[in-house]
Amino acid sequence: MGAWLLMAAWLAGCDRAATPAGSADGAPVAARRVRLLNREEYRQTVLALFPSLAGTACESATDCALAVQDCVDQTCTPDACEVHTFVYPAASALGSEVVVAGSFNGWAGTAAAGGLRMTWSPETGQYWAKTTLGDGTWEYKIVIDGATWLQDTTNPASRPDGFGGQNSVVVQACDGAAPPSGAFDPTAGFLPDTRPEGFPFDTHADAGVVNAVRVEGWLAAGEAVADRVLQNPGALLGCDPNQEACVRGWLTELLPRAFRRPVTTVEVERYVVAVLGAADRTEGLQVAVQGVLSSPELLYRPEVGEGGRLNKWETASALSYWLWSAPPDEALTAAGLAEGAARRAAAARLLDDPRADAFLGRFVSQWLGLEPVGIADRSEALYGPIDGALRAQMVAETEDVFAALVRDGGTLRDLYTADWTIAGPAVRALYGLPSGDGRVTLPPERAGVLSHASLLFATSHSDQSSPIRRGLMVRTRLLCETFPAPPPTAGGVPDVDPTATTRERFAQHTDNPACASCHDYIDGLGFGFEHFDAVGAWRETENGAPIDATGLLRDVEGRGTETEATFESIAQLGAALAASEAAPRCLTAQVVRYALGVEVAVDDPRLDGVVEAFAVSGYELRALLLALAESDLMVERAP
Amino acid sequence: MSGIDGRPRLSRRSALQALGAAAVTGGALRWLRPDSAHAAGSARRLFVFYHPDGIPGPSQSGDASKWHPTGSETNFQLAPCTSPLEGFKDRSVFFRGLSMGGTDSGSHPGGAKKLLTAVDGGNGESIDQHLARTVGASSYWRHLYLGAQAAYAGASGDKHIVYPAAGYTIPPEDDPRRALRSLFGGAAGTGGTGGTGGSGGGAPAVDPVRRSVLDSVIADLGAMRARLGGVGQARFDLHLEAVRELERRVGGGVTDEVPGAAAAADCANPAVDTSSFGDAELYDPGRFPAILKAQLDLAVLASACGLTRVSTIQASVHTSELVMSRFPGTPMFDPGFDMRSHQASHYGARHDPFSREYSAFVQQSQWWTGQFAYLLELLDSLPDGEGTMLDTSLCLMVTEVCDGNTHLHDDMPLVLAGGGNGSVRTGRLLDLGYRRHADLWVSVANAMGQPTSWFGDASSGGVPGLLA
Repeated sequence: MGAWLLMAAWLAGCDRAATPAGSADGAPVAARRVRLLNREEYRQTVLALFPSLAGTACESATDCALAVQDCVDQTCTPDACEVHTFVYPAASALGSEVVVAGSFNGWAGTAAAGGLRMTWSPETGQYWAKTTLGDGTWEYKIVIDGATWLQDTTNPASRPDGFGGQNSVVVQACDGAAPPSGAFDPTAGFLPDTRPEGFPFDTHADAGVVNAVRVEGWLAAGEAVADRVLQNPGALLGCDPNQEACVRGWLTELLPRAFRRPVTTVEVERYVVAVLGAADRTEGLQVAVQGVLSSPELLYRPEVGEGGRLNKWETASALSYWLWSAPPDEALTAAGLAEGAARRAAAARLLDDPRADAFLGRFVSQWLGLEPVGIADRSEALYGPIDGALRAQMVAETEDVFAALVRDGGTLRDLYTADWTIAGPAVRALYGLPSGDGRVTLPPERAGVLSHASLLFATSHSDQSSPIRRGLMVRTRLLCETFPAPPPTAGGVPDVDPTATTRERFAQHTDNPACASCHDYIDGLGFGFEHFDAVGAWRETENGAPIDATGLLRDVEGRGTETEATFESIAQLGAALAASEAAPRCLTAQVVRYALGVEVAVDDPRLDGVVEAFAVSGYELRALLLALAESDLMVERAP
Repeated sequence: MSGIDGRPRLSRRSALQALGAAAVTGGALRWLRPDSAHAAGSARRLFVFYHPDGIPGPSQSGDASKWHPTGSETNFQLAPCTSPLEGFKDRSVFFRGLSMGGTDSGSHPGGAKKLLTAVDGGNGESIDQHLARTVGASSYWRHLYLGAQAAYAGASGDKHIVYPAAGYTIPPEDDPRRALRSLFGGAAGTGGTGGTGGSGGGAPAVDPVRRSVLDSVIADLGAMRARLGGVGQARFDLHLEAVRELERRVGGGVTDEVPGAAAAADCANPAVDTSSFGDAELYDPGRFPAILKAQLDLAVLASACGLTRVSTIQASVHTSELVMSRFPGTPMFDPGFDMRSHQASHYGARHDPFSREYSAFVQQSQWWTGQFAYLLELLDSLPDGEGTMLDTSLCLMVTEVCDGNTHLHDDMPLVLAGGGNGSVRTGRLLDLGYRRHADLWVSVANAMGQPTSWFGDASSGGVPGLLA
């Protein structure tokens, strides 16, 4: 009987229009609260406080220890063991093309044939190249302009080449080697952040509950930081740490940055006393550094304000933790941010700064649900090995495209329909594109973020694509609709069947009226992605049968609106979404959820102002962010 | 301060202040601990073992459960999916008729929220956290929450079953190596507790810097609380409790280790086999059995060495994508076909022996029960007083739905094992007709020495006849 009641309630679920939003009596969307820094925010805060932790800045690998480091994100970063660096010294450029040809690339003597192209560095007088080599013994030569084959004179190991000369030899043995330590990450041992069911982002204001494991994490981070920054206390403090005045001066400068507000003399003196009261000065400084990094004043961001509005310090943090995941810089805390126009100008500056990469990448990957791509299992029998590099490049593609669109005036339509992408070699190989890195035109069957491997991978199971997950992804994440849970006895994914296509296997959902109520909105949409398999590769057939990827987007403006669009390609689906009113409104709600860390209904009228500004801009992504910065939503807090 | 039953309970702060003071004078403190901690007839520790996606219970078409035992209270037979517990039949209690009632938000998430809280939507403290805060209040680790492939990036809070506060979960520690370092410190440790404390086993060493840091944190918590005038109070309360727990660990105080078990487990050289997985394999389904085994080993070791009394081990998460057909050396192993937990749980309307899902689901359910049996074996191998740690502990096997296909929350497949130090009458199948599972949590609290008559939103005084 219980099951019948649930079934009846559920049957009503998708046949009616969504209920309108509740209260919107002009109260602020967010309440007065404290917000606990999440893992990324804590990491960025620590690194901002102690910049020496971040490592050596670089523009090119030649600025680093070239043999063992590369320049990643403008920071010298250790190579993985599998990466080998070839270096060939030269007084001047040797020709138009120098490559490494060897047993690892079929002795390809030109870049066009697959040879490893070397980069000329006039500053250091050398050619260099890095590549990944598996375990084993590899032979190679340096080749100039496809014609001159030279032994690597910097490498004493060699073998006869069978032509009277010598091949150079590299022996690679990385099995079991520890991964490179990489840039220092004070949060390496932290528990992952959590979030309420259905909330896409790790910025929810109430989700982070402090337990002993989290406290232990902050303590350990403080200890690791203190170990590093206190190797030379004089350099950290900029004066003689044995002088009380030096300690006081250092803390007077440090605490306001750590707590992101002015501090009182009493507060400074409490820390000074802790330093002076320790057994010795080293221990005292440890207590200060670790105490600051575990202090609730650093860990929490109060949004309390005065008269229902954030104060200037809180506003600066609200903007910087939104757009940088990091504390405000001096310019931001010095600015008057009470006026919307000032916040708009500040947000524009923040977005132009490289630190905004933290927001741009994290927002889009959490919005679209890409985080599991790093670990979700795939059947090796069906898809071959899916390595970490491919997984990382999949997510990077979507993050990089989103960042480029926000920074270069791209629109929501571009996001959903762009005929170009930014992809690394592994993703390019998956797409059938020539090798390379950076911006490239997509093959004709792909368009926009909906065709990115990351999204297609994230919405699949280990051994099959999932029209359900893909349809639900569009409906819940891109259109902000909610669906009731499947009823009891809904049944699971139909078995993989070597004689049927996925679409045929799933037809039962819509053939069965008990399922059709909701699945009419989901499956027809998800079937439109069927040309892409569980790792995001294109397929013309499945189990010998041609793919039918005709899609149906029902009620794009919400259930019960009786709109309907069929589509034959992902580009058409993207265009239909971009032309809707529901998609930009949903994106607005998602940005507000991320920035304010609160659940807000998509049809909440308090979003209207930002939605309107977004529309007026022609749905320029950057305009949406600036409109929110300018809006009162950003600074008003309910008592 | 009063407990949930309105009775006064030991103030944590006064207990801690007492502990701190005694650490300074080097005195032994056992007399200051809550009487219940070592009272005869109270369970000394609790292990909660969670597995995902229910069991092959009664099917839609009326097939009998392949999990629930049948027979009379004292003369009963196990079913295929509970058969791995055959050797522990006389030290376990099985139930018929324990119901979670309806749930607010769907079968799996709704069940996971209600499982340990006994409140819809997880809108209450979970039983393990409650016991950690009460009877475990003076432990080094009030609560140990370990996971196997349960706290991956992006997992939403409803995937986790532990609720320190109404409506909000914490994620488990998924990496046994990190958990080992955190619990025991030692040469491999970074940060952590600062060493093994020599013959004291897991007892942490005194660390003056960390102690001063914690003083500083407590001072700042007080100042911030005063400055913000009420905003964030509940969060600061939890934060302070957590800091006090850390303070206890650096105090260099007493250990609660189980003498016989601690000798057998060798707390000075704690060893857990983590050799078969590295960072890159923590979420590889092929390594899942080894990871889960390491976490079970670790939970038992931590308890034997006196670090904690309350442990929760969460294997995967509800609606699990765990490919159990990749578990090497098990009957489920099939490299050519992916059988995921949730996939198998939807085996169809009837128990069809020719259905791939159905036969896999029976195997999966058996395997989970086998893991629980392993936990019991481990405890039974370690001496504690007159008997073994199994005799003095309580162990629960739990999952968030009954039958994985029907998603119902009636006749929940929960097992209570272990003698609870004489507090539980084991070797029985209790047919309760219809009784809310909140009552089992009341009984568990009572068995742990926490006097209470209700828990969650639907208890009525404990499971009758369960306790001695």
